[in-house]
Amino acid sequence: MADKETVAAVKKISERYDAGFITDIEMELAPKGLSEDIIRFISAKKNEPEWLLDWRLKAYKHWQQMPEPRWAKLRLPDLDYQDAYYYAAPKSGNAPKSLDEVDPKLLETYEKLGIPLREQEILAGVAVDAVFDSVSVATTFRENLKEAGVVFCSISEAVHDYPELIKKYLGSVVPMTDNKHACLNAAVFTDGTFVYIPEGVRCPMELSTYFRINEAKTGQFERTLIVAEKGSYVSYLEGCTAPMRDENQLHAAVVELIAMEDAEIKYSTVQNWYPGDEEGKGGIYNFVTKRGICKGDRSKISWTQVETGSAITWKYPSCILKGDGSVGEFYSVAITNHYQQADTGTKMIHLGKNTKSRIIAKGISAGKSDSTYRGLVRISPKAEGARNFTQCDSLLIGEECGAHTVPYIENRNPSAVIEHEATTSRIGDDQLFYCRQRGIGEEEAVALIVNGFCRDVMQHLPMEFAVEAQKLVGISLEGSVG
Amino acid sequence: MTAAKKQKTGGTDHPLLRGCGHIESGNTPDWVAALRETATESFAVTGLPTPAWEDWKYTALRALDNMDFARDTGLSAVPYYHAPFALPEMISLRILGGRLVKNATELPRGLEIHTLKDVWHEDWVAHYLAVPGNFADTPLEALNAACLCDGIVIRVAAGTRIEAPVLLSFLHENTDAEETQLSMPRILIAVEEGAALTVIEHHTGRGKYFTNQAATITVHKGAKLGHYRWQDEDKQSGFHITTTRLSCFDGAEYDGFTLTTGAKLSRHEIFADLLGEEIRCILNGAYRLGERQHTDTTLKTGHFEPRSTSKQIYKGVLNDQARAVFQGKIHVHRHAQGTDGHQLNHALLLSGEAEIDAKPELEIYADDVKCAHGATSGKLDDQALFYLKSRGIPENTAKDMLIEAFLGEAIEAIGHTAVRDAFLHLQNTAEQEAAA
Amino acid sequence: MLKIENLHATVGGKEVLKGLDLEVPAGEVHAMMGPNGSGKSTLSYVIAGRDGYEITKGRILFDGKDTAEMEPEERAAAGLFLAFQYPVEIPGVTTTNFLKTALNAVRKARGEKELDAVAFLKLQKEKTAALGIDTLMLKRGLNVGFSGGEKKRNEVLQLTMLSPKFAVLDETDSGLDIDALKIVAEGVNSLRGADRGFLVITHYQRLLDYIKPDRVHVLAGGKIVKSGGPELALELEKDGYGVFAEQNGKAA
Repeated sequence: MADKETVAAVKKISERYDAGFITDIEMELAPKGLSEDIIRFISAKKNEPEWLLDWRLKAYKHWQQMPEPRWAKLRLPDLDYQDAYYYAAPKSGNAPKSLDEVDPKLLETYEKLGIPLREQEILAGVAVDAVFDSVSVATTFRENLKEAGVVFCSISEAVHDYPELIKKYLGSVVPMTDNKHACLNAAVFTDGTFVYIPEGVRCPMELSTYFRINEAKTGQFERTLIVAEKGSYVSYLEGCTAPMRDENQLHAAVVELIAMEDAEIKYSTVQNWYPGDEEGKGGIYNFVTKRGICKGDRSKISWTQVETGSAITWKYPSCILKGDGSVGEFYSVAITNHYQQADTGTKMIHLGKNTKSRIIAKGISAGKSDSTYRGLVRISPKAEGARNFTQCDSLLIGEECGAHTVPYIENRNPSAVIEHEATTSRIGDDQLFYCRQRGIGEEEAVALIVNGFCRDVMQHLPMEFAVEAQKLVGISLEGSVG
Repeated sequence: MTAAKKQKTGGTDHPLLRGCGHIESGNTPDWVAALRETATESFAVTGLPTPAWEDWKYTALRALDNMDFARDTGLSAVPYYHAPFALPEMISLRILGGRLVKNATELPRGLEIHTLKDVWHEDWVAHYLAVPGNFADTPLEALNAACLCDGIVIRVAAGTRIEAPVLLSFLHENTDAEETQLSMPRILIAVEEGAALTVIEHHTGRGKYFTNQAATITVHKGAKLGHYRWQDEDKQSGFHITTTRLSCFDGAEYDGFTLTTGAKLSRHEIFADLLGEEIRCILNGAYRLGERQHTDTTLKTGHFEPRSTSKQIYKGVLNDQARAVFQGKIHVHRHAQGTDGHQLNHALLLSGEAEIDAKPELEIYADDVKCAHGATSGKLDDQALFYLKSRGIPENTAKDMLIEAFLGEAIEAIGHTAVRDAFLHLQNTAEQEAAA
Repeated sequence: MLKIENLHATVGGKEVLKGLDLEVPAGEVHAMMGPNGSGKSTLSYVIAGRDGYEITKGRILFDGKDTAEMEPEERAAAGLFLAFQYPVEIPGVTTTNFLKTALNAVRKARGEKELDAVAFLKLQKEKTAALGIDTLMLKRGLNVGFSGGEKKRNEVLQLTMLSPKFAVLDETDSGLDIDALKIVAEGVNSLRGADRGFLVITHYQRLLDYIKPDRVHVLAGGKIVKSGGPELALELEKDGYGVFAEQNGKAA
């Protein structure tokens, strides 16, 4: 059972951020900085078709004109886009055909992170795409998935193997010009994951991508595209880590989900990018655009996220509920400690009739951190019978942190029913004492109580991830009490 | 916002500034001159806010862009006006064109009511009003200050509890002129230590006009103010914006309520600063709108010290193409442990073209607080409606009953019994008018 | 087993316990009775080591060891249990999860092997059945939405699961109907033994009909004003606390 392990794990872990090691491996880097040439280089490196290069260049042109989004409740640094590498790949080869061709050092890295690519293949029944800095280094279980008709590969491969699908759907949910970070991604994205579930197929296993930033001064710009055809189902997991480094690194990803009639996509994230040290030095800037469209009637998209890492998180996984009777869900836990800042939430855009959305967001702030829930619920005039329920709860630990709730509720249909609730609280002294009287130490008690606070969200994670996530809760709050 | 846009809406020759006409400068205190200058400069830079401003996301003032303005001289007679209700001992005052009409009513001891011009040389008035404000985020307040030439000043002496409610009737009559009449009422209410007062505002009129009011309200230690407003401006062509700055000190009680039924477009923006401990601050309201009316309530409550309570409960009903905006923020500063903050917004949409936009915000920097907000939006309860109809009540009457009950819940929270009953009655009357 | 010497304790700067002496040897059950405000609950919190309950003089010895420097969880690991008068609600944490975390924390601190899920659930099932507890209750958030009786039963369940050396029961009888009272008492009685001690804090004699004490003490004004055998409880039942009111009044 998860909770015993949680507590044990919290005890065992002596380092605050145990994914903070660096893999010493020979890398191929593009010259530092951003320019048309670099984009041409990335495109050439990936042997891309002309249309994609044009798309990238168009994005780059647009990006140069765009202002940084400043509306979030974040103290944002000025980013020096020229002081970063936009392409970093392990030298040992681009697309290994099987795990035997993967550099053992890389396999070791993932093993250390608890994602053993080999054992995974035998034991856990979870297919993994491992993205190391800019490129996908391994994708497991491909053959088994192929039998079911499921496509699960890196997006660079998909560009060559499934050009029509990519051309049709890339940028169709998150337009290239959506926001500055998404636009940068469109210009320089180096890899990511492509998933295609054909009509009527229930994907036989959980699919997951594990993102790892290793190289210093490297940005990671991956793109994920998931298309679920009529009546299909897929559950997709995403995990992220990075070494501990003094400088800040940029992660600007784009995720697009497309669900056709009666299809369901479940997208889970455990984000544990390096959050910076206790003084707020270093850490990942996590600027991510995630959006799904419920295109067909009765389709469903469900986002679940546990955000414990990153120095700054700017992220709003959203649902466009276009099909009649479609359903959007957003379950979120965001934990900030020390000097971390998180501004995260969702957008539920109700367009179709009888569309439903549900938002459960739990924010936990400790140390000197700030956590903000920012969410939009929009009911368009045609969304007859739409329903939304939103619950946002904040928990403050200590006297120097902040917790904020900024919902935007826009209703233009009288038959819609919208409910929004938010509360703010802290861990009660009586709760802590009760736990301690039963023999549970203070930090464990905090982890236990916080996990209880997050339970409504955690229970939506797939089992394997739930265990991981519960451990993370304890680890990220270390040093927040006493 | 681009520089080009700023130029278009701003500048010292902005139609709204021009519309205010010549402002007398003789015999004004230095602080008035300084305030006008700062405010004019600020407005010249910002111009009117646009939906690109986060705080004005849902309210566009485009309708004001193409108007010609003239200052309301306050000379037009308003023959038709009768106070909407008569409360025992009520002190009834009229304000025309932002100016208090003097009358011979004898005031109870400890209560003073002045026209601003008569007292603006006095230090205590300057103390409240000569604040070097930063108008960058409140252009309408800047506009009011830029045109400052008179106002209404009410003060209750320490320890005095005034039983007689004060009714301020702001009246407008401009049915013939081409220009939109501008009036910029400036209000100061100071309730000194341990004093108590009830003030009622009634804003009403006919024709084309734009009221841009600014109010400064201070409730000192242990003092009590009941402040109830009925915004009943012309539904077709009246514009009404009020910016209120409320300061409360230790143990103060502010009971505020705004009933909005009028104006083509209205906005009430309140900055409530709770600067002491154990304050009780209530900012409630109800609105009922139809046609193309638009109302915006923007509340910002700041808890600066420990153990104060704030409540914001707004309920509204929207018909036709009406639109309501509710933006409420509770900001609990680091020091304000033991804060109890509560905010609710409930809206009923009666038509497919009505719209409600709500943004209830919490910003919290203290861990020992109880803060919650809720917002709902929906239609009339079908089951309740069916139940009433099954008892023989005609549909329209049944609907009215349900709406009345829905808004009544908000109105019933008014602390002053006589005012509460009067407002409940008003709401009913407004309904009957709407039905007729 | 539990020895309290000249205990003075303050809560929020106010002295509540004013020189309390008590010794409960292993194998005995002592009852602590007294009027409201006499310091009964304060005594239970001081024994358990709650923050804010400060010992200004005297000491509490547990198994001969001064507890002054021990954290609440260390006292629990050493075998000290407090059944709360008002059990605390912890939303989202199921009773099962809480119990398992607590039991294994205590076992670990004692150098015992942690129980795996199977062994734990078996033990829990056994104890739950004995107390007539609905297993659905175990899946709900700890004490959240529990009735007064359910909360108290849950306390006794935790007591029997953790099987401590010494238990303080703080008004465990309040809010219980007669059937529940019997079940709770049975649970406690089943744990009685030569190597275990109990301090039963109660306002009424009723509970003592079911949990027979070896000694009865009367607490008033922050100290023990009378001690005796079980018959003392019956006397109190008859005469009330009136005679001790004066001492209590002085204390207040």
